[in-house]
Amino acid sequence: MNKAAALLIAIVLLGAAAYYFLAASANDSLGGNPEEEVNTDSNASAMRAEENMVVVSEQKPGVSIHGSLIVLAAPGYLVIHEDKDGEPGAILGASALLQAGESSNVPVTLSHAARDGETLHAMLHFEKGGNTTFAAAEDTPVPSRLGGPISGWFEVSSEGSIDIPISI
Amino acid sequence: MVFMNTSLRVVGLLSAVILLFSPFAFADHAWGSYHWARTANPFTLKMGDNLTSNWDPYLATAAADWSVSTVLDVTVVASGKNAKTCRPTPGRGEVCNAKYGSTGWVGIAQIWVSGSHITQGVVKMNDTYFSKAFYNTPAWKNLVMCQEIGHLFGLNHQDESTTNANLGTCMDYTSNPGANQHPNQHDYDMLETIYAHLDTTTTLQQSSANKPQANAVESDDPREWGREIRRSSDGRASLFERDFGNGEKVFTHVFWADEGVRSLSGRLRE
Repeated sequence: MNKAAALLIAIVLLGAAAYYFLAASANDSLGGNPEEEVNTDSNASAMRAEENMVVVSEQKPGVSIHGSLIVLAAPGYLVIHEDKDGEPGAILGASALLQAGESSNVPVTLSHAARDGETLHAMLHFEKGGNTTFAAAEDTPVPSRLGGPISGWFEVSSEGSIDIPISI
Repeated sequence: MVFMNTSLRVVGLLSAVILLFSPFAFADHAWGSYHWARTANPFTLKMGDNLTSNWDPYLATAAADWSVSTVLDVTVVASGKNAKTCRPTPGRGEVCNAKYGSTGWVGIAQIWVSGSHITQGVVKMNDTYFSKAFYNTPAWKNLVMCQEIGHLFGLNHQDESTTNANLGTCMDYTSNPGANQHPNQHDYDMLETIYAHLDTTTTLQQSSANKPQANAVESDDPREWGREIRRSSDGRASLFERDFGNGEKVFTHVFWADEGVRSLSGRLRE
């Protein structure tokens, strides 16, 4: 009995030690050889006020928009609207279906090229029909607790950064 | 009996290993391996102030809080960015506020990286939410400003649950910011880990050389440091503020040793 208990404890401790060694090894990269790190999956959540969230930074002119960070409580879409008197207007394009959770660097192709100096709106819509393509008639905007949809504006500028920032 | 002795030795050895490494593992809330490249510590990171005046005290508080760290100091500099677009500046952070919309976030930090080296960063405070009564409080503003500035150093959250007890740090998600408005020792320890090594190059914007007033207080004489505005919980570090007027302040970071002043660092210019 004592042998079995000692063995069990040893196995548990060995597993825990292995976990801690791995964690420590991962952290060693901070001071070991940092230049070898690659930033391919570094998006994280922002200081969130709601369970759904959209971050789209300043964009270059053109038909391609990239959402930096999208958080959805249920499957949905990043939808780009034109500006109409400071509010979201006609839909210019939508992303592919996004699963619940965090998505980063989300591409949207617009129906016409965004112009230098233009303001556009990024809005979240939930998938309602059980399919995988955006349909404006049924895929309704994600509500914000402030009233209205989860939405934010962004500007289009030829002077915008070409780099894709990492958001947190 | 021999087996038991051996087993107990193994258990004891493994326990020692765990005790040796567990604090290190639990202290880890670095954001990947991202850090500013620099060739010496402590280093100074400039923060461009693109805030409306009502936000300035919160940036000053966050800058002073983070400057308590032994490895870095924060200098607030005037900036002229459009707060709506809040474009980055190479080698430093830019801090902005505007009504960015019902985006679901109250504050956000964005960093640009080259490999694991941070090259520039942006912090945005979303006044769409801060204009509402729930968030329009000093506690929430302190927490969010402190947290987003902390991200620019390469720190991640210590905890992302809003329903558990506060950890006493701004790097902790919460639904009640009361005790989470400033960094804690864990954050300073993490910064020391992140910046324990030195790089052969720098991604930091270099300081301008012409700062006669700031140079005037680079002194070991405590009478020239101004007033003490913060002291660490163990009493070993203090932050002094000297106000030169016209928006210019110099912060002096002092690490106390038993025999007196051990070292000086830290200059925060507003």
